[in-house]
Amino acid sequence: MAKLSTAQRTRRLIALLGRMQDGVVISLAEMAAEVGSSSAELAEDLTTLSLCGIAPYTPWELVPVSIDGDRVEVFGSIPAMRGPVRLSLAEAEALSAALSAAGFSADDPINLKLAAATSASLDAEELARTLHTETAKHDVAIFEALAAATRDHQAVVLAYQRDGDVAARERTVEPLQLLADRGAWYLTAWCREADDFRTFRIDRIRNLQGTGEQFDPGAHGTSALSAEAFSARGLPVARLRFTNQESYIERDWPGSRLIERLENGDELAEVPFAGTDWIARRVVARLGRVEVLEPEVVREAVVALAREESSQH
Amino acid sequence: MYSAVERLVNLALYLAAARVPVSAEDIRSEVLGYAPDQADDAFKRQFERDKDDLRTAGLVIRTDAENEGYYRLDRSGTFAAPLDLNAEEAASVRAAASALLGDASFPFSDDLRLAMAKITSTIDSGDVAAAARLADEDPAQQGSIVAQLAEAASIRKSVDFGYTNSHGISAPHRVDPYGLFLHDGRWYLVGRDTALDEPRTYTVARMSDIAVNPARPKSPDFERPDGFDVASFVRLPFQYGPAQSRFDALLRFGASARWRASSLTAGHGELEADGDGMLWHVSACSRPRLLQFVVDNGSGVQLLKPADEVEALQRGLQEVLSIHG
Repeated sequence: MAKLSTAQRTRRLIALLGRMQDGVVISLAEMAAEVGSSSAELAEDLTTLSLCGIAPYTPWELVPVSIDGDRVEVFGSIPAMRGPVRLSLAEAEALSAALSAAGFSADDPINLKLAAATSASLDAEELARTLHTETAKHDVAIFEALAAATRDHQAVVLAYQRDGDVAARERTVEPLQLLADRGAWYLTAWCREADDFRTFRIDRIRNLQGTGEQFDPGAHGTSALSAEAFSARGLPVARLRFTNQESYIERDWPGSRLIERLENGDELAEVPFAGTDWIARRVVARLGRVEVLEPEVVREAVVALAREESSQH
Repeated sequence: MYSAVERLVNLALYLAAARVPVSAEDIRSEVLGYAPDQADDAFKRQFERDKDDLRTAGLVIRTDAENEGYYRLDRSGTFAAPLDLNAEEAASVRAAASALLGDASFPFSDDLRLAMAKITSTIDSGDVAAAARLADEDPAQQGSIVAQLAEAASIRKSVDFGYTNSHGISAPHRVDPYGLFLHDGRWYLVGRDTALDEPRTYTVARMSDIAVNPARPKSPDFERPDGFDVASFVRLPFQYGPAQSRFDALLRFGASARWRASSLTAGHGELEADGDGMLWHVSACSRPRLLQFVVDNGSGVQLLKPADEVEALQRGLQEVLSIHG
């Protein structure tokens, strides 16, 4: 990690001062996770804080915090400090930008509450005019409910409508992780209907109901948790031919790889796929500029989809 | 010997404890960390920097109106009331922060981390498992460049950078940065290209050697146009292309796709109720990309106009059948 400037480290210590409430006993690791530091950084910060205070700088005027192994204890109060310092403008803007990336608009009540906790004047609407995160539009009430269900390990019933489905289908799922990937938010969950992990696009969840039932988040392992919505691990692979009218662009086909460039300018690539619907639609959308060489099951899905689309248009 | 950080925390605690406005001299004599033998000018400069640093940390330090040269901490402006978030809102803040703190392409992670350190104890929520990958191409580099550009846009300083366009041609640019947007895994800068004297959109991943104008750092180089909104520069995939190629298209969302109309149109064009579906009037620049958009977005999305593109779509679908049949 890069060395922090004096100003940056001071900001971190000022932020920590708000946690110095008499009687707080917490593990170093837990507190480090809460404030986003490593345990070593936090230990160094708390040690520095314990040396700070006001005149005459006897032990009674120093910040009353001690570290004993992994245990942090606040053994007194700092009369001058009335709790946490308000967010600085930069901190509030960072939080507002994070919320914007999660689909919350500038006039959402959360931003108004945030403004009230900021020392300077936070204008979330002005910020949104200069910094914009284009996110697939999901219902923020559904996002909020999913975040709470993921935190509380509560099973929920989703009404989920995939592209092409005439109506939403209900699934009971155990929410495990929220994930933002290239402009859309997803939920990774254990789907009880599929008896397997599934990833759901949040903007395709039409409705959500809590069940009040708690689940064990480790019951099915954690192999599905990832920093990416799509993992190519273990998926079957299709071989595609990109004609010279359609450049192969790796990021458009997650997990894919170019395997050969032919003399006529065509390119051959291997593309992993979780379901034939997804890959067939992407191939059909190229309107003949991409051909599936194998497997046959994907070629058949392409033909079926092209017929269906042809009848629609 | 006290470190600069200790001096700053001592100063914060001293100001917080002071019941009456205090002078710079009071501070010099009472706060550990200021060297007693420091020259007056050096002390004044250091004290000014210290006040700035504490203000950046969120402390509201005011000059006493009645006594010039005296300072006080605005306690109500400095200390936060508990954030009044309900359980779902608190979980959402946790989820968004948790996801973006781990995403190198999010440009404000340092400030976000400090924000969470301040509010964690005031919001009643455990952690939420979340991850993010806002930008997928060299996320750390994009995040770092966007942080620089956002700062330059905020203080309105021009930036110089090298830029390689989609044809592989590189050239230097000087731009007045107006705003930034993220779209489909890429950050973009919108600003006035000073050589062309018109607004342009630049892909951040194509930039190199970013330099913020160092001259007169506290004086803005430009003003943003009134009513500027960076979101208005975001286009749908089929809306990129030369202006002279622009044409009007008409699409229909059938009953099964009507619920997605708002999401798919993303505020572009005009939607109009049409029986159990919705009509969408929208301008386009790229014909192949329009057809791709129609098929990519699933059944229930139908192209009605222009007629020649409807025919092109049919021909394309027949071509798919021909090569896979």
